[in-house]
Formats: sequence, C-alpha cells, structure tokens
Amino acid sequence: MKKKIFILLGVFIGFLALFYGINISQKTSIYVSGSEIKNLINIWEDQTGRPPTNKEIDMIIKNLVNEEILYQEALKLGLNKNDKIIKRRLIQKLEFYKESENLNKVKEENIIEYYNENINSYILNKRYSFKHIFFSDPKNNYENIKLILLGTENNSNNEIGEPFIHGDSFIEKDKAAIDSDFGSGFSENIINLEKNTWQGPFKSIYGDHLIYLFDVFPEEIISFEDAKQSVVVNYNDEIKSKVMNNYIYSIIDKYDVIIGEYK
Amino acid sequence: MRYLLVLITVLIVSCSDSSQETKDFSVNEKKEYIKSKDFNENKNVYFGDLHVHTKHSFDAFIFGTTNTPDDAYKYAKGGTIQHPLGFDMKLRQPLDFYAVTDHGFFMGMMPAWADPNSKPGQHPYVKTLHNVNRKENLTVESSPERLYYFRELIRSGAFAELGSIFSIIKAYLTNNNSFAVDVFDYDTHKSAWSDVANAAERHYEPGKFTTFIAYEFTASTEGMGNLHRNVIFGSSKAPIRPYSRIDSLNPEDLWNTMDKWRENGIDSIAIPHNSNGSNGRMFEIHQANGAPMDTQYLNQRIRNEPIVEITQVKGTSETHPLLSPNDEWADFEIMSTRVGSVPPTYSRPDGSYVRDALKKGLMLEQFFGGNPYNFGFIGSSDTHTGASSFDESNYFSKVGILDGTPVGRGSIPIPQEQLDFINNLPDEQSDVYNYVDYDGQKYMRAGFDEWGASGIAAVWAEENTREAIFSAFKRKETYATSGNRILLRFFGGFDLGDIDLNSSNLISELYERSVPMGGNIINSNNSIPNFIIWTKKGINGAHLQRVQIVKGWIDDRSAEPFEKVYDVACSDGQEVDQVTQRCPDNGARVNISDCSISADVGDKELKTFWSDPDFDPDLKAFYYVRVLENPTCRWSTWDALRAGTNPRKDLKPTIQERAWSSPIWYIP
Repeated sequence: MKKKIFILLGVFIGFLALFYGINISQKTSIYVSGSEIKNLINIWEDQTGRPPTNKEIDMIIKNLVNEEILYQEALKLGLNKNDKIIKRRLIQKLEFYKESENLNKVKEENIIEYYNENINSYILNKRYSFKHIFFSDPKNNYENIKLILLGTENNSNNEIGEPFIHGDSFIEKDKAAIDSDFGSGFSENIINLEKNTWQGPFKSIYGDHLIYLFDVFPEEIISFEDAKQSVVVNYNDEIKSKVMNNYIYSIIDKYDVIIGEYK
Repeated sequence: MRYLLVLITVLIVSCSDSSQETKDFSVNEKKEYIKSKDFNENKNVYFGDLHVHTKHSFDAFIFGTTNTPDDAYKYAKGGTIQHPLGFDMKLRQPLDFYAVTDHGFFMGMMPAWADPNSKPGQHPYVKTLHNVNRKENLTVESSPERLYYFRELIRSGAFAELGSIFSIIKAYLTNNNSFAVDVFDYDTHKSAWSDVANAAERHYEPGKFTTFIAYEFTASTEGMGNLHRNVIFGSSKAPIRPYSRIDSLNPEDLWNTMDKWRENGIDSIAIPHNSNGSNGRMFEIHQANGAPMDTQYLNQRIRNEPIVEITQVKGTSETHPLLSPNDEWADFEIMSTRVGSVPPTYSRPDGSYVRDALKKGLMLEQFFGGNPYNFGFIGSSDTHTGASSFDESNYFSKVGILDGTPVGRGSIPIPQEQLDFINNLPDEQSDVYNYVDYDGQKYMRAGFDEWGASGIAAVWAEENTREAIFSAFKRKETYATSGNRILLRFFGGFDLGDIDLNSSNLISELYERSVPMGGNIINSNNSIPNFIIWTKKGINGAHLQRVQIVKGWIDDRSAEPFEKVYDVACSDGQEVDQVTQRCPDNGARVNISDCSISADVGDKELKTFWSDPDFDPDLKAFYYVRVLENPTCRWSTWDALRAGTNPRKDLKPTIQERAWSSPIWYIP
C-alpha cells in the first residue's frame, strides 16, 4: 500500500514538474561497469607487462568517466544523429547480436526442421548409366553399325569407334555431370532414351556418339543422416543471410518510413 | 616441495613446442570407406584450385574481402557469392576440389584489428583500420586509403614490435614467436585457423567434392624476393596453429617442421608459387645460408615439395623470354616485378622460373646425387576474394576493391572524375595510388595489367576423395592450365610403337607399359624413349592449335643445360616441319572489334605418338607437354570492348590459353 502511495506521489510531483517547468534535478548518472575497468586493467597489463599502480587505476577510471561525460554531452547535443560511422557500428552490433543469438540456438530439431522445409535441395537427381561409342568424324553408316551391335551390350573388341578421354562407360551420372564431360545440353539426348539398345548418333562438342543406356536411377531424397553435413552448412548460411531480413520485416511496422526528395 | 613440483610441471607443459601440437579437425563421425561410384583404376581427371584467400588473410581483408572460408567453398561448389564491390561471382563450371590457403602469419588478426571493440583493436598501431570494411566504405574511392594503410602497416614495424618481457618468455617457452609480437592475439589467431580447418571439414563430400586443410607460408627474402608456399594437409589432422613466417623466413625450417608432423602421422606438402616474383631466389643452386646443397637438403626439399604452382593470377612462371629465347611462346603472362614490392621492383628471371629449375635440378643431381627440382606442375588462382577468376571474358582479378574494376586494373582509361579525385589525394596516398600515360591516355599504375585470368590445378586420380587426390599430388600425376579445362594425358616409356592409339584399352595398356606424367623412365638398353600424348579441348575453351614437347637436358661432362621445344602434333591435319620442328600457321585469328574467333579452325582433340629425334642415352633429360589453344581475347581486350574504348596498345590483345603437363624424367 505504502509503495502505491509513493508511486502516486511520484507521478504527482512529475506532473507538477512538467507543468510548471520545475527543475527537480539536472544530474545524469554515470555508471562505469566493473568489468569494463577490469578489461582495461588487463589490456594495460598486456601492454606494459605489469599491473597498473593505484594511481594509474585512478587515471583509467577518470578517463572512462570523462569519456562517458563527453559521450552524454554529445548525445544531448544530438551529435550522434546522421553520423554514418555511429549508425553503421550500431547496425553491425545488432547484426552480430542477432546472428549469434540464432547460431547459439542451432539444435538438432532446428536442422531437421530446416531439412524438411528445404527437402528439394536434398534430392539426388535422376541418374543415368550408359556406354557410348565415339566417332570424332561423322560417319554415314551408323545404321549398319547399329545392326552390327544389335543384341550386344558391349563393343567388346573395340573394333568400332575411337577411345574417348573420359572413358566409354559412365555410371550414375546426372545431367550436369554428363554435360560437364560432353558439353552443354548433351544430356538432353540421353534422358528419354530406350534402355538396352544402341541409339544415336548424338552430337557432342567433340563428335558423334552412339549411346547404350543400361540403367536409370530415379530421383531420390537424400536421407537426413546422409545430408546432415550439408544441411548444417546450408542452415548456418541461411541464418547469416536471412536473419536480419526477418528481423527487419518483424519490426518494420513500428516505423513510418519516409524517403526524402533526392532527385 | 609441492610448489616446486607444480612449478616444474607448469614449466614442462609450457615448454611444449606449439607448432607440433596437433588436432583432428573432423566435424563428422568417420564413416567406413566405400569406393566412389566413379572409381576408376585408370583414373579420372579432377579440376581444382589450391590457392584461395578469404577475410582471414591480412591483405585480403584490407582490400575489402569479408568472404569467409565457408563462402569460398560455397563458390567452388557452384554457388554465388559477392565481390567486395557488390557484384555477384559465380563459376561457369563448379570445381572438384578447393583449398582455402589464408596467410599463416597474422591469420585472422586484421578483422580483429578493424573491430574497435575487440581487444586486439585497442592497439595504437591498428586504430586507423577501425571499421575499414564498413559497408559504405566498400568503394573504389577507398582504394588509395587501403593501399596506404597496407603499406604503412608493413612499414610501421607493427608486425615486428615486441611486447612485454613476459610475452617474449612465453614465446620462447612455447616456440611460438607470435606471442612476442605486440599486436598479436593468439586466441583470435587460433580461432581463425580453426575456422579455416573446420570449414574444410564441413565442406568435404567424399566422392563429390574434396577440400584440404591448408594455409600459406608467406616467407620472403630481405629484398622482397618471394619464397611463398602453400602448405596442404592430407587428412583432417593438422597443427593447432599454422607454422608461419613469424616462426621463420627460411623454407628449410618449414620442411623440418613438416618432417616432424609427418613423423607424428600428419602428412603435408608445400607448393611454392610466384617463383616469377622471387628475384631468382626460389630455385637456387645452394642452400638458403649459401652452403652447397647436400643429400639431406636435396631429399628433404623434394620430399616436401613434389609439385609447384606454374601459373596463377600474378603471372605465369613457366619460363621467360630471356631464359628461353628460342621459345616463341615464352612470353605468356609475364609479371616482371617482385611480389609486393613498393615501388614495383624488377625480378631477376634466372632462378625464378620452373623450366630453368628443372634444368638446374638435372645439374644438381649430376654433382650431388639428388634432384631437389624433380617436381610436377599445378596451376591455381591466388584469389584474395574467396573466388577464383579463370574466365577472360568475365575477369575480376584477385585483390578485391583495388582491381575489381577495369579502371582499377589498368585496362581502360581513367575517367575525368576519377582523375580529379586522384589528383586531389593527399601526398602519402598518391605515392601508392597513381597513374601513368600510355598513348595519350591515363591508366592506373598498379601492375595489375601484367596479371592474368589463371590458373587451374588438374589431377588424375582414381576418385574424388582427399586420399586419392593428395596421393596424385605426391606422385605428380598433375597438370596445370591457364584457366580452361583442357584434358591432357601424357605417358612415357620404351618400345611403345606398337600401341594402338585408337584402342579403347589405350589407357590401361599405357599404365601397364609406361609411366604417366610425373614419373621417371630409366635407361633400357639405350632405347629411344617414346611418348604418347592425348589431349582434348575443354568444353568452354577454344579449339586446340598444337601440342608441344619441351625437352631439357644437360651435357654429361660439363653439366651445361640445354632446352628445346618440339611441336609434335598440329591441328587441321597439318604436319610438323621436320627442319623447324614447328606446325604451319593454322590460320586461326581473333577479331579484336568483337572478340569473335575463327570458326572451324583447330582441333577438338589431338593424339600422337612421339619419339625423341635427338636422343642421347647418356644424357639426363626431362620432357613435359605444352598444349596451345587457338588465340582468344585477353581479359584486358574484353574490358576495353565492354567499355567501348580501344585496347591498350602496349598490352597483348590476345592470348593462347594452354596446359602444361608434369614432366617425365629420363634417367641414363
């Protein structure tokens, strides 16, 4: 009850002060934290190789107090406004704070949740296993060659075609990997081929190829366990890039944004 | 008594050599080894970059880079990251392997110095660096300030000023000189190194993408002769801190350290680079202290340095026109000055180029019984933005804000507004940031115009795993390209004339009967060595123009070295002239007005058998392959084309992209 009375009394005096411009107190408190003083003492020791004397400690504290007084005066004069360095530094601090706040929260369930939300990034693309016969110069008898090869999977005696520097057999290659060996767009020739028969010719940047597709592996989701390492990397990357945007989005309604004329 | 025991224990613990304290940086549980799906006994080719700097390197950070090792690996795997000037960087094709190699000395310190709230940021020497990379300061206009800070930091002696007596004792007891340097903070440094190592572990995907824990040992001579090496670790185990130039400026001390790591089960290699900027000091014929080489030195050097970086952004170190006057292609992307010299100072070619070193190696072997320069080749970028820049038509060079624009790298004239800005700089900044007149126009004078969009490390390995690729480095089954992904096989042996080059068993037969690039062939009844070369253009490269063999040998009595370049395969069905040993001109041309190139000239593939016509069975020799593409526009011409200006007349308008195999040595 007493507490409430004091509060009411305080509010009443405050009102009077505001209304009549009564100068209750001009003083602003300056608080210098013990940890800040300890930190400066440590730096002193590192710098000089000895602890500061009492006189020197007094000087350290005096400097801190002076710094804080000047800072408060500068604030009163509004010198912090429109100062890009101060603005940038405050934003940087907030960024660090928000990032570390989120990074500290990384838990298994966050990662699993991220994995499930981004499951499309953890898919093993459709893959193709095939053999090919390479011709650096176009031939005009591909149909005859295919007849010779009919019913065989192997160009076993290697009597037909030429060796290819990446080899003649490709196992479980996705489109990007195929294009990386044969040139952009070559994989389009393979993806719709019938299995277990020689087809072509198809043109790569190197020449002509007859293709024998013998296996196709459907797109499949990489299990969480197998993907975990990448998930953690991507999750942290996402936090770095998205956390500030989310934060700004969550608080932007508190502000009226007015853009000044600049053209 | 109890206190005495405690004191002794503390002293013993304190006295441990911190450079030999090691750690397993694995971030994941070790899984049982399963052979990759594309495992190939005859080996697959993999392309990568073993020389990449991020924000943890003092110079990268001061030049605006805030990209982390994670960002760098993301880029290598095909992701998009940002240049310090704000534009996106993305590779045309992802890479197969990558190593972040931040400078070991003061690793991680620069970001801490730039943070006004950090403990290291309180040092008076570094206060000018506070907030240097705040977003609004990532501008071209901040370049002179950055260059000035960079020079002053080096000049001020900040890196050398000693701390308190306690820190000096601590440095002595732990064999860690960094403690004695006043501006240094060990916790910051170790945390940066952990970030580098952990990022390598986080991004390693066996069978798909390989990373290496690595750093740069950035030593130099008193006259700024470059002795830099990249140290690459073969597993997840590495020391708790990098052994750097603060520990020693002598590479021999690095090898001693590496030997000790190896004794403790941690294998590593050191890759020398930018020998072109060493002023003749990279490949000397004596030890660092001037003493003659001995067996211990010869063996130790080649044990630790099986491969060298022959090409990178800061020029190509194959050979120099003064060293190889009969090689018409010797003037490829030559950087004429010492690395980091201010003002730019001439680098002496003798002792600075790898072909010269290969010849010196034969000579040293003759005198001392061992060859310290029995090395293979790789290329890499030395990017300082986290992102390799290989593409001439989309080149952003390597030092961030300084050379991230065509004006900054000196390929187009400086606009009047920027010229006014430079003319009004304070004297101390205009000393390091100024321009030069060429042909009536003003261009930046920074030396970046001598740099090139290079290079790539290629290896032949069974699969894309750390073990397989590291093993390829050690046996030198590697080659280098100037940026394109040329495919290159090279084998040497005897009596290979009956091999059918069109057999699909060609490679397995060659592995059975000969040695691949990086190997030695030993005299067999004085038979003439035979070589088989098979090369294909890269999917984004120009057609191939010719294949050459570069041979070096020494006289068996005087040890006088010689070299000769043979064209061994010509494009378009042309024959090598047997007198000149040169292919005829294939007619490939570049239209400088739009950078278009002759269509249908040159070959997609060249394959040949070659036998040395000048072979003497008594002479030690080496042979390596150089493949040349048809000419294409150089990056500086692309820059000028896009800006609508004329290319600078004193710069070559075109280049011939190329690949260099590791050598095969003939031992009499």
